[in-house]
Amino acid sequence: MILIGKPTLKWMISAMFLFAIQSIMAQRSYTISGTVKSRKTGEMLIGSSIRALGQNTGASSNEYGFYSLSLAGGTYKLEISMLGKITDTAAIDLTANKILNIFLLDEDKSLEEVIVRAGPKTRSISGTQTGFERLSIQDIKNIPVLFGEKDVLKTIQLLPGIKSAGDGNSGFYVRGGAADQNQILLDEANVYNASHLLGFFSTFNSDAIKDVTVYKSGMPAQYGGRLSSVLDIKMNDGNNQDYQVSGGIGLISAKLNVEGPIQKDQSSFLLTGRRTYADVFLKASRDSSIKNNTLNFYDLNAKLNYQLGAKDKLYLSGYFGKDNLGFGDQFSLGWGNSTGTLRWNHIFNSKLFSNTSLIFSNYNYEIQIVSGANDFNIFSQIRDIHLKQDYQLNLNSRNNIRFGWSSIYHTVRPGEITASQSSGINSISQQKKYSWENAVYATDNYKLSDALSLTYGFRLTAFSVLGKGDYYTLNTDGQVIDTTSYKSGEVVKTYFNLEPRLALGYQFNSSSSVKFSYVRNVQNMHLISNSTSSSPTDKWVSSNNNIKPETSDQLAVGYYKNLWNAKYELTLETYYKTMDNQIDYRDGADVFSNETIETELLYGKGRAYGIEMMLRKKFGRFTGWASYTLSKTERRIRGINNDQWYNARQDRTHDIALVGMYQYNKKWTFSANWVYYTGDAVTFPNGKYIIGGQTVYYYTNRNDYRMPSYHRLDLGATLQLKKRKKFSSELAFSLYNAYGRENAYAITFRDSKSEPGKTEAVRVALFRWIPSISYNFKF
Amino acid sequence: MVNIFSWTYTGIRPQGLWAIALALALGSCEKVINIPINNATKRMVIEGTISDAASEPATVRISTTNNVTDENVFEGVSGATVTIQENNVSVYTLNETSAGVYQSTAFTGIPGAVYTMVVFIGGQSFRAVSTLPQLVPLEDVIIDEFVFGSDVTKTIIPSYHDPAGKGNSYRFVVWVNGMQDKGIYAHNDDLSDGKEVTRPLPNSDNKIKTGDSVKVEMQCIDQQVYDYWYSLGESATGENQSATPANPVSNISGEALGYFSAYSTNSKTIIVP
Repeated sequence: MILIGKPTLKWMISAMFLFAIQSIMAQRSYTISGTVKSRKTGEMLIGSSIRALGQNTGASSNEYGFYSLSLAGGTYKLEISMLGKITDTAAIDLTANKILNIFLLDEDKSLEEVIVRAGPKTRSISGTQTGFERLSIQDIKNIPVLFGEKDVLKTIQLLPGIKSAGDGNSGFYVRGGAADQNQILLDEANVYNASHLLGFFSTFNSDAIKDVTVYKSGMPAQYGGRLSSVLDIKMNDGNNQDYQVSGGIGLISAKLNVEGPIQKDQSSFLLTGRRTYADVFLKASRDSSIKNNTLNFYDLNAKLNYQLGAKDKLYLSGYFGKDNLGFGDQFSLGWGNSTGTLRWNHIFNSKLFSNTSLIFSNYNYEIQIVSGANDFNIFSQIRDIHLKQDYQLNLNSRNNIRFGWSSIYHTVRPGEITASQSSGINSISQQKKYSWENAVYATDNYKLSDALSLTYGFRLTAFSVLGKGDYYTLNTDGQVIDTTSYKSGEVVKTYFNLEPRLALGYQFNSSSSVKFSYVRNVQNMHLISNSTSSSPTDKWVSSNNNIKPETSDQLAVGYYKNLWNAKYELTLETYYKTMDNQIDYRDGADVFSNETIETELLYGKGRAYGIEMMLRKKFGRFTGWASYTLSKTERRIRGINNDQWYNARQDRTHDIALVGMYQYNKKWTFSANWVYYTGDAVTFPNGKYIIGGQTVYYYTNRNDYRMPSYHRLDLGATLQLKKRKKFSSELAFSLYNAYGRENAYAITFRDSKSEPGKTEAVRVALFRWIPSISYNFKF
Repeated sequence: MVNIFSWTYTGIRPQGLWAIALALALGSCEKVINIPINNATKRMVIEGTISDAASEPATVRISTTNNVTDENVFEGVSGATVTIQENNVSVYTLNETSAGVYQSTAFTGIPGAVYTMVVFIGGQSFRAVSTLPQLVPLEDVIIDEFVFGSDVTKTIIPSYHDPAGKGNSYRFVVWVNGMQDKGIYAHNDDLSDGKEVTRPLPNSDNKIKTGDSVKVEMQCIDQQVYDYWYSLGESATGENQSATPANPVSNISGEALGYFSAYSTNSKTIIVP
């Protein structure tokens, strides 16, 4: 807490009251509310802008398409706009509260029109939200990707401040945070492992996704539980106007999407599936030792929505995905997520919108190993049951209040080994761990004047570690000195944490603004990995009597400007973040087979700061962006690197991404992206010695070397094939790593093969160029 | 997630498997590159062993670290005073037999005894304690095959019966035709307490062929020595990329690298069928 001392809950609630009352006493106003939908498909539109022309007030549609705008009585012209849609206007005479449902038409793709039309007012200028980016599937459609597999998780890594963990590595790093510090939500359900095929693909099939929002700072109070970022992914609702089938066939996978109305205008369904078939080629082999290998994944997304009446709507959505990796009869590894969300939207009145969600989330993996007489099976799981209530109150033209609560029950099964009698391994079942994560939150978005907005609020979390189970008392060397057994439901420890939220936005004029934000985040579920690259078998542990909640405090300042008639958008942001109770493991830790994982852990601090810039062009034949990040990320962990600060592995000084898409004509769209970043901070030996007749390497400082810098160019082209009445199709070509840069995947040291007695460093590069082609259709 | 995949014949982890699959499909490449490496201040390296085999004298090797660009040579350090004390009673002095190598044939390790190594050199002292565990017999060594395409991997499988009660640790050393294999094989009974264990030793460098002579030595070691070998294998061989590189966890007090191990040993030699 750097700026406002230690604010108490009381302080914030009083402020909220004060501002609210002050505003209630302001002039008589009326509210206009409703939903914004797509005319063509009936999909709810998220983040469309509803403005009264000539007034400096506006609202935007929420994640369910609902908006509520308060204005003083009078006659207005409303303008409703959204990227990719044709701007609509409506004249209203406001003498009482009013309901206005809006349908927007898709933008016509005829180019001339697109070029001349100035874009809708971009959200990044107004409001108080810093460090945030929203991408629709339209935005990312043409960006070239590996194997032509459109991927939101890969695309956001082209944005400033979001760093890729590298080829063949799942995860991404936001503003110095670790990969497990990103909250990845699919229709509000937490996705614990968002990667397929060990990180080359994400679990999000772009055919099923409507919209992606990333928060790097100033996370709204309804989000909580992770330190670094929130990635909020919304699935499509399903077309409620017409049946629609779309699909695609690519080099490694095939996809199919079916959607349509259950009742026209009222309810709809969506079903999307994807499966890779790389291992189908293996099956073609005559050799049984190759044939018997598996390497595949599949995803299934399903959603139903049902209008219960004018004021109530139900949504049921689910995701199920699984990876299978098998090496002959030696071993198999399967992992996957399943999530389910049941939501109920209720509109109390034109000012109060409510959503209740019941969410289920599950991640598990299973390993089967057969080696000689040893055959055994390992199972691990994390499962959440989550109930959530959110209210959005448009109190008046100045105050928009959001409040609610959330309650999650976590069950972690750290590891269960089942072995046959003849096996050299015992059947072992590590104790299940239970915890209960509760939160209440409230924020007020307060418009102080036409130019100045303030968002203030809090999130209060209570994390309780519950029995049944054994919990340990450790000495300073991390050895167990005492064990306490707790009964079922007994509270082992509760951590309370107050997370203040504060943001200010000042708009200089219609094209530029400056914003400031402070946020504290708390994280109680931690991913423990002792490897440098992440694995599906990394272990989730909750905070307990020894593992303290991780916390972070972040200050961010941003400057936003629209240039050249809002054709270009410039974003400059800078941040400073400190992190506490960061977790690392002891040298030589075995985090898998150890029941008392606490004994293997070390704790410390982190700090990260940087500047991010992005220049983006959203309209016209040519669209795209250039982004640059200059940053520093360090850790100081007691027991590592002589307790001195060291570069975190993900510390990269420079990070550049250039993304361009060019619509050449109605048939052809070309695209390219180029990325460059400083190599990861790594530990190389500073000496060597002989032990047991072999060369052993001597290490001094942690992460004081760099991998070679990484850069890569990807090219893509999309050919729109002949359109028939209802049928359209396209061919998408892509070339990943177009100039065949051998980017280092790993650097190892070994006794030289050419000069015996010497040491050589060996760079391993995974692949050079990867071309791909895929065919997509829609009818 | 470390131990588990080492139970397979190839010792391959999922990441490794995926990398192999990719390499097969798309081709990966290895290239020797030049990396400018800083030179660190030299540090003392001590490797002390005492076993229950009368043929193996108690040996302490003292050397220093070299620069990475130097030859791989043993930089013996002469002039140290080296003693090993048995059960806090008898103290044996080890004499320098060649530069940096200190030995004594005056005693042989006894299972159950506690040994304390003390090294004085250049005003510094280093101390380590190790308990010599009871011998667990190496019952058999067999070779099994794992086939992948046209590739046949012969894997060495020792078998032994782990005594009931957790805390038994082992180190295996493999020689193929008289040449020591570079693999680090440290096993404990965390997962296999009291079991008949047949855990493979996926050999790291040279493939073994029919007719090769394979010698497997099984050392019963204490927990601290296991930690040393385990952490060495995970993070200090220069090749393993699974954990952040770090120096192995040593049981020697003072700023020295290395270990002191009191172990019981037995071995078997077979001809690969």
